[in-house]
Amino acid sequence: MNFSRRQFLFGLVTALTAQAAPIRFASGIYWMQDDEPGPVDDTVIANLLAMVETLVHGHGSIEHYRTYFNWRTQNLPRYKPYYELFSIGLDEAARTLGEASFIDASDATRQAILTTAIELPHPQSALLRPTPALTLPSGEIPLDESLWLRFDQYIIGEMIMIYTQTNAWIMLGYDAWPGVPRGLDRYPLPVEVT
Amino acid sequence: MSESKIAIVGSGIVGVTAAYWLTRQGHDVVIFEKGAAYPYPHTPQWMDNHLHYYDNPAYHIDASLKSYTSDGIGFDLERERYMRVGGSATVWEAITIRMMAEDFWTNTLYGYGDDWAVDYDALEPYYGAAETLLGVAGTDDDNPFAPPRSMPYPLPPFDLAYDDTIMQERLLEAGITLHTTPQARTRLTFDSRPGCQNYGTCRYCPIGARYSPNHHLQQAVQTGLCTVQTNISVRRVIPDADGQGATLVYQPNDGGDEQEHHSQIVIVAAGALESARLLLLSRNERFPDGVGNAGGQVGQGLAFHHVWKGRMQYDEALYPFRFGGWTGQSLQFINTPTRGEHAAVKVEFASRKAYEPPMTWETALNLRDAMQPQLHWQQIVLQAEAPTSPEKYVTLSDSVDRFGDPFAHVHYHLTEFDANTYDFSRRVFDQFVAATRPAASEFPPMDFWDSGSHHMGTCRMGTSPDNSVVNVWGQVHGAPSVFVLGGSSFVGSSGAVNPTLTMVALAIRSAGYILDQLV
Repeated sequence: MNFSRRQFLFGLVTALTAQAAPIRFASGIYWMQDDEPGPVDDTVIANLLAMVETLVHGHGSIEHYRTYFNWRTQNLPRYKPYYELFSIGLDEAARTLGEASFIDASDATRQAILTTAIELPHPQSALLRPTPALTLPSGEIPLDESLWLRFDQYIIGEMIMIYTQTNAWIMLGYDAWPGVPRGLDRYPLPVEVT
Repeated sequence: MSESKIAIVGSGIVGVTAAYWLTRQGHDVVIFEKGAAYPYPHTPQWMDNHLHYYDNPAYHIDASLKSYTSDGIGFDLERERYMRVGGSATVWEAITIRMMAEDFWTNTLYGYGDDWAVDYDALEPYYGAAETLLGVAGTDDDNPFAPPRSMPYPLPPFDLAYDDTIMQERLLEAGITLHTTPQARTRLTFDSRPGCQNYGTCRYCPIGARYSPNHHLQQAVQTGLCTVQTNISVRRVIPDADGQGATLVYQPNDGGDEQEHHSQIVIVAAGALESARLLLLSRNERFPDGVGNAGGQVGQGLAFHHVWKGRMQYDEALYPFRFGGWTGQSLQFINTPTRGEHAAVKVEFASRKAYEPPMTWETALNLRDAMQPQLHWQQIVLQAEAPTSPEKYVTLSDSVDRFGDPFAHVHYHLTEFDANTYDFSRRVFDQFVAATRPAASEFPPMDFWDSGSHHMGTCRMGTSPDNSVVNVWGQVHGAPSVFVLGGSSFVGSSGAVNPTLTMVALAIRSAGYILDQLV
């Protein structure tokens, strides 16, 4: 099963014309309704976590992503509309592939939708200081292939970066990652590789 | 004009140590800090960096207030200096090692550098006091090269990490001793600080296990005798003509008029660069070349450690960084028979490499392949002693801050002796490679070094204004009401070992002297 970035965008635009927020169309350009920080619906966070779950494949808890996503959208500009757009796109992609929603989709369907996302090359330093060059003026949103650069900047690249500093350590064979209390008993002992 | 008994410029580990010691004896202290307040315990900062992945601008200081110019160094000093309440020790590695007795006598014993005006024996009891203050966990049982001590460590040591024990076994076969690392982390609950839980995010320890000066600053403030003024730039220090006090001229960073604060004692604890800068800026009729600079010594004697970082790749997976602190060190290469042909070198294994995210990957589909190699790499750090030279000094720059005051200019060029030390470091690295048998190894060229965030000298201690800026107590020559404490008072570098423990020991010693002056 293949699902291209173009298909994702087509579905997203289709879904957007059928509902209002989070963008508006004026003077031939799509605009963010509001690029200020603010909370997003639980379904948006749920979709993002489902995306993480698909990537993480059981390599430990993913609750720190929930903390991260909520903090980002409530404290930094532009995360809210991009999270909402991406969530809409995930749901529409799942419906295109015969599922009710992204959350309800099978792992195989989610993988098919996300493969093209994580195939995108990721800038190393996107995490802490999003590249200003990729920030459009005045909340303009491009509904074309370049939107993927924004999804990468605001969502996928950051998720991957968090993964490399947390759950990926479980993937590599550690029993915990830096940032959680690991105690002082086990580190002098050999790693129990499973 | 405001007043206090004691004024301190800089709220880093040295300034806080002095404030804590002096307020305990009932003296009022005002600390002037150029940077912002910094929450403690550092839980908010830990959340910012490790949960939110957010570099909070509230803790950064604008370049119009904090900058420098330089020639001769290839690394960014601004990445090593932190102007905030608590200073650089809010993010330090917490390695706390005593200097060797020989480090104080390099000129007499080995014919290089300069002898200190104090020696190990004079400082030894204050090392013990400093270790107790910071809560140092350590042992000398596994370290035959440790200097003598009159009291035990206050806390037991952190065990070697498993990857270090592998290295230790191989090194021992080659006659090299790898031992545990004394460090200011609570191995057990200590002085109301919880025991380390090995979060591994030590730069922003969320629980206060890794020592931060803010711990004792809070205690000093709670006495009601210590206040901290933040976002303040101290622009001048003006000693009273009768030597009975001094006035600080300062200005709020965000605008506002110039103000003055008078105190009986002024302690300048602003780090090697900024302490020298303040004294040089404080020119007036009585001090035409700056306070304490009658002999032209302010700014001279700058010493960085020269840190070269190599790495070794092993066939087996070592799983580094399962402990956030430092475990394996070797002091074996400090007092070698060839010291004098080169300077001393300390060796440490660093688990940090595995903590860095992959430097490159093509897509997230191949993350495992990209990250797997980090299990096999060990970083090895060779930290070299740095004698002073005429080519290492701080002066004033042509570049100015927002108040029009020149920044510090760093002039620092490695010498032929430093090159000999590099060659020695390389030979030591080769010994470690031969002993531990990696599949591959890398060592940087001589010019690829950094200071380890160890900035020393510039207001060195000594017996005369002709060869120093301060006396053995940190008291400025010709300005008895002004003290300069911290690494800036060092004579060259702290041997090859990390300087902070020595800085705190000297600060405690000087605080005792200041207390005697206040009686």
